[in-house]
Amino acid sequence: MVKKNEHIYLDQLSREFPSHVPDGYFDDLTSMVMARIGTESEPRKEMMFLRYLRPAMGLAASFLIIMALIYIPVKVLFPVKKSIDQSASLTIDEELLISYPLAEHSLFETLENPDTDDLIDDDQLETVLLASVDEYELIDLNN
Amino acid sequence: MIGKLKDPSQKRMAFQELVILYREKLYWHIRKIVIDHDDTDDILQNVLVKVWNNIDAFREESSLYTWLFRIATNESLTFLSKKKRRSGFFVTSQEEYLIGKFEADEYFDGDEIQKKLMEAVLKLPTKQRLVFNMKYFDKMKFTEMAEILQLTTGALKASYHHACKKIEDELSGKD
Repeated sequence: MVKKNEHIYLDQLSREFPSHVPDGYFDDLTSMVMARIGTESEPRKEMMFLRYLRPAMGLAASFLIIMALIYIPVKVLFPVKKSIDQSASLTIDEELLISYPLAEHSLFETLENPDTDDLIDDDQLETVLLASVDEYELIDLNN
Repeated sequence: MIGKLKDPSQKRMAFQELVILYREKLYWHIRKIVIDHDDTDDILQNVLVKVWNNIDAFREESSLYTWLFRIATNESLTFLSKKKRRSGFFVTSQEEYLIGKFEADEYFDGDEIQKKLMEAVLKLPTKQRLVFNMKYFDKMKFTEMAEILQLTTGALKASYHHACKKIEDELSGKD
């Protein structure tokens, strides 16, 4: 027992930590830890994979979003006019090309439409008619 | 043992041996820091799982024993630093938290003077308390402590000497 005003020295006291544990605690601890490492080690490998994949996926997604934000407005605001060079897509054999002073279509329009002031002279009419007649028909017509 | 721990075919069995070998020392080391049994249990399990997950990264620059104790010390100190809480307008200090835990401890089995000793120890700053516990209760050598805490033996001796003086004055009623 310590007297009042007596200086206490640590060497006089027990150096045992004054506490205990529940019965069987350390055996249970070992079992619990071994059970835990069995369940926690596999997910950790997946987490490691995801940990590296996640930033890459994030970067890819960010890039796609940025491209969409730029591309779509540009496409809407500045549409590209397609110029089709129709003559370039046609293959024209110049030897087979027959030029008419008047297209056959416009000739008949003119003939059928009394309101037009376009005049057709006899030479033009003869040229169109002859172009549509082949030699056989021509011979037949003359007989 | 380290070789077995790093061999996948022997790792589990070697780890079980490690747990059995060090569980009590690690437990009491943590318990002296955080006081409460349930808190100690949580921290100790986390420490052992951390050891399991990081054994491959262990560079063997220190002994396995030192490495285990260093992890346990860091986990315990981290746990305490998170326990600072606000209750209304008051901040509960770490000291108040630990004394509260000690007074509620159902596993305390010391006498009156040992109770006063524990209360005096809990008033020490955390790191000084750590040094005192390791030297006074665990009877560690200063060289071992220096490796675990990564301090010089001179600093540890000075810290321990001051801790003893404070506690003796507290027990003798001279504060």
